[in-house]
Amino acid sequence: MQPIYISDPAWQVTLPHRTVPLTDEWLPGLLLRCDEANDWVSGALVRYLLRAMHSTLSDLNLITPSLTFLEHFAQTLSIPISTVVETTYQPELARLSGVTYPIVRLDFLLKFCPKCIAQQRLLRRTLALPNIYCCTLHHLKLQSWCPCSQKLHFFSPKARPFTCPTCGLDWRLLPQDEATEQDITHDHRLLSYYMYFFSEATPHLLFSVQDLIGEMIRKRSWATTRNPYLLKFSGDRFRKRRVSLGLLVSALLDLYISVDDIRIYVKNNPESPSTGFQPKRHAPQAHRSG
Amino acid sequence: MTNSKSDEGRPPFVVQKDFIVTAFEERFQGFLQSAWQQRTWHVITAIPGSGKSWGIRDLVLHSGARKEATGETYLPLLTICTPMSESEQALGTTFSAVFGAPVTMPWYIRRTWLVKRMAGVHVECLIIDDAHFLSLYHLTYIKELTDNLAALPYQRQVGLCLVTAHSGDVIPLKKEYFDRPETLWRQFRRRMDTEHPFRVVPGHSEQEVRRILATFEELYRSQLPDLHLQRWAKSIYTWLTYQTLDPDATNRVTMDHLTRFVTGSLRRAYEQGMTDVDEKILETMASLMLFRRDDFPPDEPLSPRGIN
Repeated sequence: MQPIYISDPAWQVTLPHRTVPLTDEWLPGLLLRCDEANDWVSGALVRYLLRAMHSTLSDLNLITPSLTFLEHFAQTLSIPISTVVETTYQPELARLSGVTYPIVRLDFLLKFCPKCIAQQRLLRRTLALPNIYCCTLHHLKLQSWCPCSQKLHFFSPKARPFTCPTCGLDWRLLPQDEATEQDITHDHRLLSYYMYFFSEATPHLLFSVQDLIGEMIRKRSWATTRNPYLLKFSGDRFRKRRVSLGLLVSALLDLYISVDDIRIYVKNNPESPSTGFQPKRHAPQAHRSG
Repeated sequence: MTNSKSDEGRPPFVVQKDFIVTAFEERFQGFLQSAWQQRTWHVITAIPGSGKSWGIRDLVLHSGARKEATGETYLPLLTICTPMSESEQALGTTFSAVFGAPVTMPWYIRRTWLVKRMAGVHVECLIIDDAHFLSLYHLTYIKELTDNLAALPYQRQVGLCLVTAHSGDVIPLKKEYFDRPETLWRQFRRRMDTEHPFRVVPGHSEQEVRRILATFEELYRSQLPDLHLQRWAKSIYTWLTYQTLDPDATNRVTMDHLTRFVTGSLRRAYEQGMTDVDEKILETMASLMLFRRDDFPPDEPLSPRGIN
């Protein structure tokens, strides 16, 4: 990437110190690294970007932020918007939803690998995926609480980036606990579902999987007793609601439905479902909480 | 001298805005560069309209300031124009704005942030334009800022150029601040260059005016092919050093006056379909500038009957 010279009008709108996204980096991590590179408090940049949009932090969806936000962010780094979009799951979820602005949800909890933070200040994009417990690279348990009992937040205005707002402990110094084999296996299975959904992403696939889950629940009535949340998948009502991909993947896991099972089902039911679910097409919106 | 055939289809006159490295700019930029290289402190002053701001801008453009994609930023010359608000906060905010995206932060944080960032982007010299507007609070803050940069852990000695406009023999800031006996001003004075703390940059002599006219000839050759301005150098110099345009009797010509005079004359000649200026046009322009200079709109096309 080219340097920006002072004669360039971009000088005035770019950060004092530019930052480029790392491979597989998630948006909040990039925002925090920008704060750190420029000696700002945690969340200074995200608040600056949102203020320009007359928005607030509570309106920001870190997995599928608005295109306006991403454009503004790309401008402050002077990099192509596509590079910033890659720090989200916006394209994957949009393809899965069949509309520009994704209606399929990912509901994340803040958690991260202390070793990734120590090595590169990196928050991997996979951290946005629900129910992942360990780092795919270091096989360490993901952390979301400080030893001082403070729940960690991405953007705490009183803290330096990547530190606890209460005791100031750097996230890289959080306990590096080895993950169990069971957790690693669990995460591998979950990731295989997510990767399958993201690579094959179509609305048809999403509906087929819901149908498959519905069929399996009918066949395995014990499942709903053990996992009451599966009841949400019975009937057509679920399709009319916004789907949580995390919930869908958990259901697949709990019902022992493998990716191969899904492939076979989709192959055998090419024209299947999508009845009763016609997502309304709408243009990208400035903000939408997810 | 005229070419009436092509006059009708002539495009509008285009004013060339290229930066010209005049003798004044060579002197002025020379002083700035010396302060930058030696990390010395000066008040550099010239009469209004000399081209100080243009010179600063040109120097900054060629200073190597850049933001690398890797996060490294180089800003060897940090240049601002004095803010109208007299508070130190206003000066600090103006300094911060040069860095780029103006993230808001409380003043007590910005104060330390600025020192850290100035060291981080390798600032080597501060240039403050229109420094005659600096207040007591501004100067106190400049001292604090540069002291902090010079202290541990940064140990960064920076040059300082307070660029002012003056009239008469009075050097701005000198009498009202730096010559005063209070400790602050003695400290300030001690930091200033020993040999040349105050530098006055003179305007253009007749010979220098002639050289600038030669440059103007080249710049406007495409619009006025037969242009020969140098032969009028003596007359132009004499007009532009009349008392109305040179009230301090410096016998020097400012770039602002010279540019206005030349572009006004050339525009008028061009609009009359001529390919060079003549004596009549130059005299008309001189009359406009000398006797009705407040009415003279420099960038507006002039009516041929403008002085009647």
